[in-house]
Amino acid sequence: MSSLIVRATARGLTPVMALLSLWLLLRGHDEPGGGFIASLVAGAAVVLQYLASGVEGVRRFLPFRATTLLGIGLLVATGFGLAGLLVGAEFLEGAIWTAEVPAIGEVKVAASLIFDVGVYLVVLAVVMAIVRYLGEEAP
Amino acid sequence: MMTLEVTLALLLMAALSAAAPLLARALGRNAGYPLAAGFLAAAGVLLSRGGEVVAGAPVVEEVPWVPSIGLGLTLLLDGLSLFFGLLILVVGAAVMAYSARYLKEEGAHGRFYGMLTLFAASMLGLVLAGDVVLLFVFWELTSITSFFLIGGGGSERESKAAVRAFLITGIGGLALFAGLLLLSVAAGSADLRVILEGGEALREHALAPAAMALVLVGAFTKSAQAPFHFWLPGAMVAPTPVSTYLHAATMVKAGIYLVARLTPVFGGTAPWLYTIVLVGLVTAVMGAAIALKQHDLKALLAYSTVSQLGFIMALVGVGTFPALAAAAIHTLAHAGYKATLFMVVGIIDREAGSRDIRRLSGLRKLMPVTASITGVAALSMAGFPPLLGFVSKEEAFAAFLGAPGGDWLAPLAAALALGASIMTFAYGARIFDGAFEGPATQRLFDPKPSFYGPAALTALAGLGLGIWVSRLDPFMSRVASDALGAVGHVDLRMWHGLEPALALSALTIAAGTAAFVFRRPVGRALARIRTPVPGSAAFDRSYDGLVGIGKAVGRPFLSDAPARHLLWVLGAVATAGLAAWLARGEVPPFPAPAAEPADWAVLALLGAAILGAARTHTRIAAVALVGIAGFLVAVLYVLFGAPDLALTQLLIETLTVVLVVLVFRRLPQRFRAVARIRQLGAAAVAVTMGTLAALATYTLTGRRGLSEAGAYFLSAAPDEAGGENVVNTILVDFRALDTLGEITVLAVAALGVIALVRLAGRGRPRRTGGGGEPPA
Repeated sequence: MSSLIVRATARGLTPVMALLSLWLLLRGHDEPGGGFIASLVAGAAVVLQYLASGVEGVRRFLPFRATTLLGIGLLVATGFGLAGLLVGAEFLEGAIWTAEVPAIGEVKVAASLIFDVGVYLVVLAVVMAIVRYLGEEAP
Repeated sequence: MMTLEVTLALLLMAALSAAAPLLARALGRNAGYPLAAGFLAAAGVLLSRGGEVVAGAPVVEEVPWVPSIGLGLTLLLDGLSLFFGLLILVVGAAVMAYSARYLKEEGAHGRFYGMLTLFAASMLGLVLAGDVVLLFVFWELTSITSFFLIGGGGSERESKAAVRAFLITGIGGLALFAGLLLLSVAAGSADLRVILEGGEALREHALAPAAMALVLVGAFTKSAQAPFHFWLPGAMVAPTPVSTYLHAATMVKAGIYLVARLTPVFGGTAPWLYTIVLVGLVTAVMGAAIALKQHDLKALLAYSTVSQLGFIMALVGVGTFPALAAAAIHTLAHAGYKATLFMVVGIIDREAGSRDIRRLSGLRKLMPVTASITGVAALSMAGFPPLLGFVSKEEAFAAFLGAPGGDWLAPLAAALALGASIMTFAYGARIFDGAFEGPATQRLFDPKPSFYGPAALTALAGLGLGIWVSRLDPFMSRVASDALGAVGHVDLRMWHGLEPALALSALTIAAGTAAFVFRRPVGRALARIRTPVPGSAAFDRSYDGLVGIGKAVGRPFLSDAPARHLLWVLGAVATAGLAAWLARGEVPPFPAPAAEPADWAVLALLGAAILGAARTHTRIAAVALVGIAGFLVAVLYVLFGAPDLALTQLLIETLTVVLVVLVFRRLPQRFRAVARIRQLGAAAVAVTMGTLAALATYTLTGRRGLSEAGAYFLSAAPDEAGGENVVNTILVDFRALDTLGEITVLAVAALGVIALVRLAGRGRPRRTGGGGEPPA
């Protein structure tokens, strides 16, 4: 399945996809993007690794278990919700933070970005689980 | 200032159950000793308020928990809960110390100690709960921990017993929950104090009879009353410390606690009185009769426990002050001698390698200390002076003789109690005779004092408390007063003068001795009576029946042909869609179509791709064509100005194609040939669904302006959620709870994939090709 061309392409394309994924995640609150879409891009990168170097490639690319990622993602999302309770807000209530960054000016961040990161991790873990477990070398 | 000792005791137990696995990792089986110390410390904390409780001032502590719905952690420490709380902690300490020697030296005991301590914490919570909802939560926790403790070994026998015990107590728990809810609706509050002070108004409430019946089902299942008794002997597959603690001394007394607790509400009413007294005494007689026939010492003790629980339950049901006091003192006596006997049987089992009295013999000469401990406990059980069991049985006889209700009830109750006591005496003698008398056949010794120490202490407690029983007067009076809701005083002593109760005690001893001496003819007579165990058989029948119904319901879906499943789903959607179309009301007019030539071109390509996918014979081509159709839909999204949707669609299609290929490469390259008629059928279904979807789209979209919700989201997104991308703000802010649910489902699906792939690879050689067909 793997060939030199695919491997070379994967090597060049993967950093670009990772950046694209991050960019989509960060800008998602205001423009097309968001955790789900960003995660699908990262998932595509995972698939690309798989096509280039098989399950081993995926393992090298993301060197941890899919279930770990799954757990972390769910923890981040629920943790965000519970943190709201701790500071006296409602479960999963959002907030808007603004900060003065030198040279850039005022930067506005929605707290729900943390929740979006949770979504991102879960979706990526699902793609990873499917590729890793269904992608094992078939006879 | 509000003090929080009661809460502290409960928190201490919770902390201990969290620490227990760590302790066990560090200390091995010896973790039982620090845990026992912890139990005693918790008992000490409770006792620090004991003085005022016995003086008649109950302690109430309220910790706000979820104040927004008025849910608080209300703990109530009065005489009754102090009594049960101390019983739980002190017997628990003995059992923990016993476990430290009963368990094997090697091996991991973290789970065992953790669960056992968690059980103790739950049990303590149950008796301290000042709120019926809280009480129910702890009640269920004891059932759950009991389940894990019975089934801990994981063998099939243990799992079956654990499931049975859990189902019976679980069903009872549900009934109890319903009953407690009805009770709190009737009383207007879930607070136990409000309910207990409900008085006549609560008793006369329309919901009261149903609440009472449901609560009693809960109490009877938990305390193993007939016909629900059979789970308890089954649960004896658990290790001895578990049987000692849960299934003799504490958990099975939860039902008794509950009935005693609710006596101020229902006590004295005819249905309460007759139901509990009769069920209790029938259980007592039946349990004792079955116990007489057992050869396995542990099974004998199990049925004896069923019998004694019935005895106590009946006393609580009588509900007079002397009866409640007798119930408390008998609970204490029973916890003492039964815990001792269970621990001793565990010792015999460990040392002699058997619990069968037909195989044990002459242990008195070999294990004199163990024999003495057993003798003291058995005498207390049989009701011999000067042990606590004698005092409690005499109080019980007096209470039964003074039972209210119809003229026939008191004599009948006393007669049944007498019968149960005679048999108790007989099987008590049988335990001792069977294991300890006769010629010595094995080379055995008493175990180390550290092993028999806890049992010796509980046995001696029965002796000491018996001799100095009048010291218990103030405490037992308080227990009975708080259970009854009216103050009374009890006078406990060995010698009450020549009273009817003494005659019954004497009769018990005489007839019991006779039954033991003539045990052979008695045994033959008993063997001829078929023991009625309808509960067990009925349970198994209904269990199998339920599983059968489940299978029948699931059968139409037991197929791995996707078409079978699709047919149901699509059929339902089609029916609902058709009904909706026929029932549609007035709809706004359809707006002028805004399609452009480019749209039609994409649509034409889309049609071609779909037609191709439907007609191709190879799987790869089908996947590719469906993917192309997906991409074309993304193009349509772009043309209609929905970049978000288009982006998502593109990515999803890409991933889907790859992932589907991952599955398909395990299947043959070409689809299996399908009969013409099935192809036509599938085409008909597809065309129907397509038409319906088109009709729905035509009817439902574009005919009205922006919805209220839509307008709200559009206007509020920047300010409230801090984002311009309305779709994203809905996902992560406005409807974040939905998203949380969705990612949880996703996560479960991923776990399902992992589990399925792993299971498929286990136990048999890796599949070659798909579904047994030759590899592609």
